[in-house]
Amino acid sequence: MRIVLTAGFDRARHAVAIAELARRAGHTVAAVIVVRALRVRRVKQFVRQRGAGGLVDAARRFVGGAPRETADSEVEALLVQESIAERSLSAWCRRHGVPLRAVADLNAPNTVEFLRALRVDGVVYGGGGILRRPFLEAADGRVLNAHSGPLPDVRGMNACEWALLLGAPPAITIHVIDEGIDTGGVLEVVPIAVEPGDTLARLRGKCVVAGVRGLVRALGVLAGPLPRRAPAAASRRQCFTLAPVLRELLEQRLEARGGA
Amino acid sequence: MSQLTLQTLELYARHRRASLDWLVRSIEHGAGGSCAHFSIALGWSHPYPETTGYVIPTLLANQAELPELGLREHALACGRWLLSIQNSDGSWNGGLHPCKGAAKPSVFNTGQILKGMLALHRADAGPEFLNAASRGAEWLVSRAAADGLWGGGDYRASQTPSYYTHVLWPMLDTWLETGERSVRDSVERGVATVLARIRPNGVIAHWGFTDEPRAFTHTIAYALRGLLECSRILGAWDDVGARTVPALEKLLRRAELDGGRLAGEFDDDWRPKARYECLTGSAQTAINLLLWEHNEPDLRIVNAAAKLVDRVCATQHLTHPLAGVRGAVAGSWPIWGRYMTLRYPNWAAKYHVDALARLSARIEREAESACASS
Repeated sequence: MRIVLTAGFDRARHAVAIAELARRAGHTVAAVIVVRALRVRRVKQFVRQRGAGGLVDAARRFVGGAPRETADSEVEALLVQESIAERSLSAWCRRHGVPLRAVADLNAPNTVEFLRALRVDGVVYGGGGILRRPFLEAADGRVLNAHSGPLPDVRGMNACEWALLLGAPPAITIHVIDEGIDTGGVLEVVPIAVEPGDTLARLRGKCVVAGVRGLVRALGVLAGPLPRRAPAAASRRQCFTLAPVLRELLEQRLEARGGA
Repeated sequence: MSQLTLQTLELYARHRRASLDWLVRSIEHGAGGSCAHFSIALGWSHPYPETTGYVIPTLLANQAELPELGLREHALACGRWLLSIQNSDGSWNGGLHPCKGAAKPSVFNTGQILKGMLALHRADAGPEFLNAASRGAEWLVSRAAADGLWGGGDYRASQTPSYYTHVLWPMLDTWLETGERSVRDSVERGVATVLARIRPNGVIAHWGFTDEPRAFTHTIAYALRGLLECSRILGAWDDVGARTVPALEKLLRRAELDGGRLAGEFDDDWRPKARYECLTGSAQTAINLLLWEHNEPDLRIVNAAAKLVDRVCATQHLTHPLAGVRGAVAGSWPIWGRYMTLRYPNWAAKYHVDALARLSARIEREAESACASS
């Protein structure tokens, strides 16, 4: 398959893993579109949603610093396991001669035109913000995403955490992106095992790694018709970032279950 | 296994204690009641009968946990003061006490004071409190129009605002104690009238202070709370309480999208009409979300309530050198916003305490259920 990959920032390690594993699986990455991270609006929105702590974590990832115990640790382990040397999309693109386009907004008209002109089989979403109709139309509705929770039950942000809180079995879902929030057709739901010693960060990491592998595995479906949105997909209440008190509660629950 | 302890709950306890300390100070400066507000420029205001009435249940609810604050004694003192200023027809006057101009009985204020009277009655403080509540409720019934509301309005609007559901609720609560059927019948008519004002987008027409198509979150929350509480007492979630859900869904989403910051005012299409936050409205909305969640359990609703509460906590000074600011909750944030500009109202502290208590209890229940199942 000939694909385009999106990412929220250049040092998105999971996106590097998707690009490389897709290449190794015989697919062609026609271009990588990266959203420029340092935009005032984006930073403000980020702080409002995730607080200053979230910004510190993001800044650490942005500069490529050694990940503390976050989901990045698991992704780093995947890169090592798969002998992937690059830690940024720009480095990966340089090595493989793939065009890298840095954009202000995935939904901006020039980004949409760029995508349309590539005439690819599909897009793999590796981050970059909510996709609007023009982008989805330019991709002919063929955009795949790995969601860190079981769909349609747990849609929205912090899905791995919410699955645990809501008593749903932790899982990731490979699905098609449509105009709703995590409402597109489902391709595969992959269970995530909760093991002794697991922390929230580790579980999130497991979800990201399972998502990377799931997306690469799913690329073949871009050759045929894709599943459509289930009728009740949007009826479940959307999840948002966890409030500190619920995050703390969940961490302690995990600990009580024999976790870290 | 031992009970889980959460640092966030300990933080909530500190904020709750600080606000209760502040409420006690507002009573100590209030010559009988609780001062309506503190302002850095003007100091403590006169006492406010309306909000003194509904501060009483908050004081009593926290007595067992914080006996050293003498909250029951303060509640009793406030209650006796309110008895001393009740009109012979059972009503209470509007405004601060003493009134600046001619005293005028107030429907809304009488309704709020009923809450204090009932709380004291239920705390075995004496039969005089139920008697006062009963007389107040009878006065409200006697003044109600055929639609169960109070035609002609009572504050700044041309017709009874929809937040007068906050009067229907204590009337119904009084009926629970007295069994006086005329009170319940009148309330049911009023509830039906307000339910008919609900638009498809969840907005309840006339829920603001004025006839303008915009409202503070404070009065939006009043209107919704009144319906939620009437629904609870009537056992009518499907017919009454559930009708508030479209509005609550909107408020939840707004709160979540902005990390707990809720615009202080909305128009009739849910467009934010303010850059400031009305903190008491945020705390009240958190309570309403938790009341909704009680009927339709979902931690995603609790999450939004927690963000609203966290946001109010973030604006609160716990160590400010001025006693009138320490533990207070501002009317607006930033404090120069349009709602209670540059003032710290006692109702903001009261609703903050109530929201913290409800949220903490909900989280503790969740933690206990996790302990029990592990």
